[in-house]
Amino acid sequence: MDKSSKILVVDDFATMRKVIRNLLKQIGFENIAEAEDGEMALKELKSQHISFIISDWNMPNMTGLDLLKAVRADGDLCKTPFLMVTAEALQDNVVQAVKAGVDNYIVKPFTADVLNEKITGIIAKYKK
Amino acid sequence: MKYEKITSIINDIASNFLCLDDLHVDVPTTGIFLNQLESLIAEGDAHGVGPLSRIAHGLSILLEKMVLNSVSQEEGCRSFEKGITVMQEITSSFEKNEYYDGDVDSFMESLTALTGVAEAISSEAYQIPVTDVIPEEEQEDDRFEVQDESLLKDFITEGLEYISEIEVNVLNLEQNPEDKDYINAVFRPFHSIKGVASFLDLKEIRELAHNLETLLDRVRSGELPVNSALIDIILDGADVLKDMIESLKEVLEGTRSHPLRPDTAELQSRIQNIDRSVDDDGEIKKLGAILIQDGAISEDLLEETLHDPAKSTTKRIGEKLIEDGKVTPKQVSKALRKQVQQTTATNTIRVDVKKLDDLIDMIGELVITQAMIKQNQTILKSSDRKLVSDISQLASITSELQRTSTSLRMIPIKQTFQRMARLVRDLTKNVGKNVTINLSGEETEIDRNMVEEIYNPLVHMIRNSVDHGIETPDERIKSGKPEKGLIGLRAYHKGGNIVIEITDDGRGLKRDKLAKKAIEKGLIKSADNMSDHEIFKLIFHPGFSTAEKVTDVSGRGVGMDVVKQAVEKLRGKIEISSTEGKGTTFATHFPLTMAIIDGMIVRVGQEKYIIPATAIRQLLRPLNTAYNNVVGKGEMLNVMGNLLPLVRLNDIFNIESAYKNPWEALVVVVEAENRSKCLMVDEVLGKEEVVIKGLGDGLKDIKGVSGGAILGDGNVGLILDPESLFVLSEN
Repeated sequence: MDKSSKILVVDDFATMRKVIRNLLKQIGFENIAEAEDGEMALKELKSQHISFIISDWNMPNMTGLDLLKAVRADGDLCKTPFLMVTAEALQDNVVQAVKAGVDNYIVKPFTADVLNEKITGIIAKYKK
Repeated sequence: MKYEKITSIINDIASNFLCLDDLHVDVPTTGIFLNQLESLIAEGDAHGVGPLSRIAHGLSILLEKMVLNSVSQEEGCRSFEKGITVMQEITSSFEKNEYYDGDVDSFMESLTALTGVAEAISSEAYQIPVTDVIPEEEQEDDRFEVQDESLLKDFITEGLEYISEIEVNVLNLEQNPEDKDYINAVFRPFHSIKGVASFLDLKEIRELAHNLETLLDRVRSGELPVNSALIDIILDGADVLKDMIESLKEVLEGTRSHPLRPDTAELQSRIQNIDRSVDDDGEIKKLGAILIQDGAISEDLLEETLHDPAKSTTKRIGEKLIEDGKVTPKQVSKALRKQVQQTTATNTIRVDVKKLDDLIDMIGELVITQAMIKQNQTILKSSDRKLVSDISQLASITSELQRTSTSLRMIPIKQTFQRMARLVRDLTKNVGKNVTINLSGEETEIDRNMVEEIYNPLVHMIRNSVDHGIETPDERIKSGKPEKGLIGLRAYHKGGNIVIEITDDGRGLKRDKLAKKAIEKGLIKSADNMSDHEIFKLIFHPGFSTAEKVTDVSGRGVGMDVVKQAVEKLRGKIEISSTEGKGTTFATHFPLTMAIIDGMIVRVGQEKYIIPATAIRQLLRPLNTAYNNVVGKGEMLNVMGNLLPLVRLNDIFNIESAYKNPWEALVVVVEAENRSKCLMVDEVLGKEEVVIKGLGDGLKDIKGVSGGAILGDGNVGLILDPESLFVLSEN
């Protein structure tokens, strides 16, 4: 994965997607796809190659946790890095995501630096 | 072997731990460990290896703390390693059927010291207090800096949309308090608003949204019930949030220096004290009402059961009735199912309204161009059958396209209705009346641009119905009506219009008293030859509403002339029907869209004009004798006993007309603002639905016309605006 790889941003709030998109641009990722809930995200994931998923936790129809579980259960997608965005570091939420195989989580609000750190950290793990 | 599985899990954990690069457990590995420990706890419990489960549990909590960064990786890893060793010792001694005499307690104590979580508390019950997590970084600063204008703009638009969604869903929630989907639907927008507000550094908005979200989270977890106190707090909270977000808009527009910082102390204390508020039985009656409707119980029985002090108040009405053997559980579940409204989930995409308007405009142009091609002489004369059939195919495609494009801007009236429901709720509280609102036809569609326009007149009428239509509970009981009044809001399509009916079961209009008042006011001479409808219409007369007293006599009249004007401005009309003592119905007819007008095409000289059909009262060719030239008043025509001023359109627009005398020409009686005048025209060409086109910035202030339209023959016609035309004719 490099800076031209496609990142999927999943959030039901369009402004939030824009916020994340802007932050990603700041750290050099220009190739970004968006989805407004888990279901749409799965469609995107199946229709094109996505190298990295950044998903909100709380969404209608299909939550971030359900999306994570679906991705991990899918033979083709299970190796896709997954970064979960949460509002607070609520222990329950984080633990559930961790158990379901999330690569890392990030707490709102975050800066471009923190996001960069999390993404590069995850990518480094996958390279091994 | 008995402990084979346990040994293998512990070995897996140990080997995973040894594979760590340095003393750092990353998130995915934490996940693996947690799952392994979970199965270890299950195995340990199953085989009665208590100490093992204890340690595994302690290690899970440790990992959770590490992943949340409240325990450092280094310290955590050392403890974890120790834990693995202790667990290995335990299994090996158990395998040898020996008693483990190592010190589990001291290890657990060291774990507790590190994590701060006592052993007895399970990880499920333990939650980090939410307030502690919010970073209290910034200091009070009165200056407001716009960080990223485009993001802020998006946030304002989307945030406001979300808040109106909250309002709708809160009311749904009130009706279906058990429905998790509705709780989530209210929870989520607050959550999203909070998330973005935190990025945009909008501290106050974030805080309030956060507190409301926390409140709803408690509802979601079943800790708090859905009651009217809760609904009130959410609605009030949404209002404050809305004000704050709207003030941001003003800051961006430059009309405010810094955003609104409302005093939320009262609201916050209500949120804190929600546990102590009393539940009312609004929701319970609802189920009861359905049971009555189904014929399962009688109204008396419902009242009796509701107010039976012997019964516990915490029980729901359905349970009580079943307990008493009055209804079967099946009947209750059927009623409950009726309560649940199915929200239809549709796939949607957000599109800029401007783009949509442009698209609809362009399609309008396409339709007209298509019509012109079809009427082109060369094509009409053409003997090429292929060309003719292709053209007619083009015509049917374009008309289908036009139909689809107009439907794009159509939205269900639901949201407006829900706002009305909320209004009724607020109003009844203020005036001490007891009213239920009954909505139907919420799926009826209307042009998005019309929605805002019809809001004010509807609010006015609802207010009137609550204020003056519905009697006080005492009065209602006296006249043998149910204590609770009923206001019905119904929408349906009729012709090219949407009809919105507001029905109340209140005191109704009193014909005699209205007539008497009108005679006193000099509005009419006698009521003998007037129909009920005509008498009722008097309440729309401006003279009627100015008299305060009339309100008490008629029960109506406050500002109804304003309503009528607003409705007419939208080219709509109002009809009243009423039975004294039974109630009143106001039916307002609005056009579905402001983009199309139903007009009468008239010709004056070589020019064609369009008169809005809603303004036309009559079409006639006057008799020679009906014409008078009154000194000081100008030319008048006697139309059925009324002297109406004559307006010569050719004079106003300074063009040549075919006729000099009104008895040779045609006269269109047009009404606006409660006045009628006669417009003299050469010819009436027919009725047509035309697409309204603006006249552009340069011509938009011209008096007498409100716009232009391309007629079926491809020519341009001006749309007359009776109101300003009247003013023009008087100068």
